Amino acid sequence: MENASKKFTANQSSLAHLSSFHALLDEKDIMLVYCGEFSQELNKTLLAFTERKFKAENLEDNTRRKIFNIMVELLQNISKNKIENLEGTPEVSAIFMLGTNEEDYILVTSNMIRNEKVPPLKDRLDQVNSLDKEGLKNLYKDERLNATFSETAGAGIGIIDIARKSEKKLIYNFEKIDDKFSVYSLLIRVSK
Amino acid sequence: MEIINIAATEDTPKVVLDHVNKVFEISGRSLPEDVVVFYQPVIQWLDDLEKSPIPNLELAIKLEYFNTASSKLILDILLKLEEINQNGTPLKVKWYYLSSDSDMREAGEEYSEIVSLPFEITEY
Amino acid sequence: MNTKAIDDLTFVSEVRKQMDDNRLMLSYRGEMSQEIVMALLNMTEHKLSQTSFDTSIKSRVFAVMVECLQNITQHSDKTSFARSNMFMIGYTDKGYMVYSGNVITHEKVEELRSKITRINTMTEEELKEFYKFWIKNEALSGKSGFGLGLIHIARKTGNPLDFDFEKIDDEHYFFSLRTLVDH
Repeated sequence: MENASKKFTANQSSLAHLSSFHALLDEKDIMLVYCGEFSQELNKTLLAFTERKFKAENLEDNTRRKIFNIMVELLQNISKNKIENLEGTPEVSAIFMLGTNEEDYILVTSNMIRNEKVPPLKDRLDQVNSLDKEGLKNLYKDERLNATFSETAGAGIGIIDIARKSEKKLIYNFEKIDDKFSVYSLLIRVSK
Repeated sequence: MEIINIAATEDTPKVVLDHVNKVFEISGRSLPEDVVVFYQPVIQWLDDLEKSPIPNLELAIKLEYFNTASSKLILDILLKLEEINQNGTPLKVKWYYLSSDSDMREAGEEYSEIVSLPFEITEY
Repeated sequence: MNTKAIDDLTFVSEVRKQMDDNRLMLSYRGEMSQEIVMALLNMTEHKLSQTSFDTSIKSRVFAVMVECLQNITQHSDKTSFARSNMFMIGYTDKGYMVYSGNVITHEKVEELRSKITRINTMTEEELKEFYKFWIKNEALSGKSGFGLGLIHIARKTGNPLDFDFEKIDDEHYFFSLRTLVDH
């Protein structure tokens, strides 16, 4: 490394090492990655960033609105489901990613959740993925009418809403960490 | 003389060059993409000032932040004022800095070292 | 029905690992414009405002970001490599790390390398004099770019500029810069 390494600790990766990270982002069409704490305020700045980024790209109003609505849902889910950092709790940073390729806009979230939340959430995701547009519309109406506020009702109607807007399958993944927690990752695509 | 009144934006400063109300001020943040384009009216105004100088003009510079591109333009502004001053017109620059912003104070001090004209550095 | 490779979410844990290993908070890869610069600044400003650090470190991070990002906006390749511009910010116990990277043409490499190397050897006093010299003499549309900006970054942080040139092809190099803004 050119000259400056003395000031940095031995743990600092060299700049050249970061190129593998760049390559990963490039390969997966990822444009923005935020990693850390999520709050109402932070969510607003992420939305504002996306707004400005898309301003330059002349999106159709419809597409823009869909992406924002999906983002709001996704981000709120992360901040609402934040797990208190008590002793013994694994430290897994929550992530939001925004990406874009020729066909789609891509939104990804990944955060830690309690294992008991996994089955209802998985069921909900599978249910939503199995329905067509009409089916989703009906499901949404049903859920709205029978609004359940219990936490174990998965992500409530948020997931249905996201699926309706995305109009594509929701890609998800649960990775167990230990007997209490898993990492839940979700990828949403919105056509350009 | 034209009156210049530009409202501040998130990346450009407020600029008031008003000889009628005797307010001459550049304040806020300066980080426009094209500093030459942004400051062109100011430079033009200074060229006009050279032709019809206003005695005892006080220019207040009260910036929160300016990028290096702006720093060059600020120097150009100060150099023009220096010339007008050296041609016989009394005038003054008042450089303001927030009391917690020692960097801004130092920036003012540096400018006062580069140009020779009455320069007051004031905390606010 | 999507058949693209991205349906595999294993990359998410890879991204998390990279972000964590490098202590990154935010990473942006793509086109750079004044709009994006302002958006990134606003995001970072917000993030920093939540900390209890004094205004000095925040304003120095801000200043370093502006110089790096506006330099990319002005001097980077706007065509095929526009999407390769990088900005990342991280936080370690030493302070904030600001990374920027962009593709440049090969003829700019030596000049940039020697400029930065020279700046890295200068004392505070020498940097001050160098800055005063440059501000009086640099034409704004300097072709090498980054004239005053680099000096300013060095003065603001008091730290050496960590940099790297990675060859992409005979015509292009990826220039990356890492600056530590410490407490």
